[in-house]
Amino acid sequence: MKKAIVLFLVLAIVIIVMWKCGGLSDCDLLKESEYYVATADFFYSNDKGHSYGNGTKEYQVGETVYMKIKAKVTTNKKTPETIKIKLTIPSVKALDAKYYDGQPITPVYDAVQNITTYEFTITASQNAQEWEFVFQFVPNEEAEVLMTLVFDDHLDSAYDKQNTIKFVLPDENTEANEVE
Amino acid sequence: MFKYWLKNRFLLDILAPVALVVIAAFVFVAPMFGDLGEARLDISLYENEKLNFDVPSPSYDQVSQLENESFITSVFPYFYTKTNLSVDGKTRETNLFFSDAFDKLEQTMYCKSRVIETADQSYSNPVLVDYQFVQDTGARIGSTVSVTLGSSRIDFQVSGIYETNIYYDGGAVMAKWEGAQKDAVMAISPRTAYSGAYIQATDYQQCKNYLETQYKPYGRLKDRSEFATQEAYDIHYNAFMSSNYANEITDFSVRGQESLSKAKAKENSANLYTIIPYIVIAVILIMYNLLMWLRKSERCYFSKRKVSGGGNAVVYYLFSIFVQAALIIGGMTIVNLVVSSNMTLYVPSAIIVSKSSISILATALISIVVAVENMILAHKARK
Repeated sequence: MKKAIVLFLVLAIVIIVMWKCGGLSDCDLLKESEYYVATADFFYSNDKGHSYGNGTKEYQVGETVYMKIKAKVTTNKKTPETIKIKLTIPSVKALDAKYYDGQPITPVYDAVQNITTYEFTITASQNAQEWEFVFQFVPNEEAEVLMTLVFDDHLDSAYDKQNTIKFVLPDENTEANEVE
Repeated sequence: MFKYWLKNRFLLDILAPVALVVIAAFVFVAPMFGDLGEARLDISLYENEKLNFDVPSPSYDQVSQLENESFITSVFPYFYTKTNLSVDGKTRETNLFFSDAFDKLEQTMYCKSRVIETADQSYSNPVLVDYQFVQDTGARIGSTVSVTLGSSRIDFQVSGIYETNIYYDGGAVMAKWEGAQKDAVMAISPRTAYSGAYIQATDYQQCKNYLETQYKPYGRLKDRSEFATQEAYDIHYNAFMSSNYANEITDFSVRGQESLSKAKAKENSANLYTIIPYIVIAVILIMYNLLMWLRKSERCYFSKRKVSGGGNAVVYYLFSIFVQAALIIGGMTIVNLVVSSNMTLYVPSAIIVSKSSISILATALISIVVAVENMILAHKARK
């Protein structure tokens, strides 16, 4: 009888734990096996958004440039999870940057560091979709702008991205092409 | 009889309820409070009906103009910077907001319904911190929070603790912007405009239409004197004036929709966890007592050797009832208090009290059920 009681208690514990774990994959005990993988890149267009590429780094002052950020986070977790990503663009006089397409969010201007931060929310899942955010740049002077894309604490900082775009005066650009 | 009970039941009567309480703590109570805390983050923010829109970079004049619109109740402008804040030697990078409109706090995330604790006295340099900041730095009401902006070090006093401001990643604190604080920010800020503003609408739809079609962040419009050539200024001016900024306006009711539905689902799941552990405990305890009664040692002892027709069996089972009831009621009450007081997320004390009351009532009910069962078993044992 004692064996039966012990067996009964052990069985009860196992049933409850298994039930709670819902098939083990989401079990807290197994959390160390969770992973998140991110992909993100910057693409540009100077043909009114018809085509985007990531090869050209220099654009002319006065021409409208569109920047598209594509980001995706895949995880092995069963339930989709919210991930925050932050894009920071320096608020330089030479450039008018405007958030154009994508989920509506209000950028926050850092009054001390003189940068603008755009904080997006994306969803990580096993079959994650690619999220796109489009910005419009209108450069009025020569400038080099460094932008950073940072994922939240779910992801390793190795996934964070930096991207530089340069705006040059039209005639300087032509001269450079002639030399080549 | 007591010695016989000590020998045969005492240890098991302690082990069974304690095991059940420990299992319930880890499997049900901790996840329940965790889910309640997570749900609360979104519910307390997005159920705030006075928080309607967040707009980027209004100029100083624009704030007054917006407030004059008939469909806008009030505008709460703010400055923002991400910086390191220190509290008693602990430093944390934080979203720091400054505002000169503390009289309009009620339309922000720092409204009365989200207060956890406030100071009895007023400070000349108050800062309102959120629960996440308190958890990370150990700040309390009256603590001095220091920040270095440029070459100036500014000290604030914590005058209020609020629920975590999840609108911003990592939470946020709000400081009053006047005097030395204002001078320090103005001295290093390159732009003379606000970082953004929260808008409370009188007429939501009209306000939404206006912001989406006509709002421009005039704080970004630069002065002609900042440009070397007229051509550069014209490019800037035309780019600014020809743009629509609808995508940079946050509508809290839209943004909160998905978060709120997820939070409500989480809250419902947590409420389910409030009931399930007691049903499980009741079923297992009833089966445990039945199994104990079926043991040869008890059935033979009571029916043949000692107490045929006597009342000692009742005393024997009364010991069991008392020990099990005391451990279940006491254990679950302690578990509720320990788990709730060690949470990293904030759960209002009213909810903790209500969950603890349910726990006490449920365990009392289980004790009654177990007592009735044991009395029936005692009666059967005497036969």
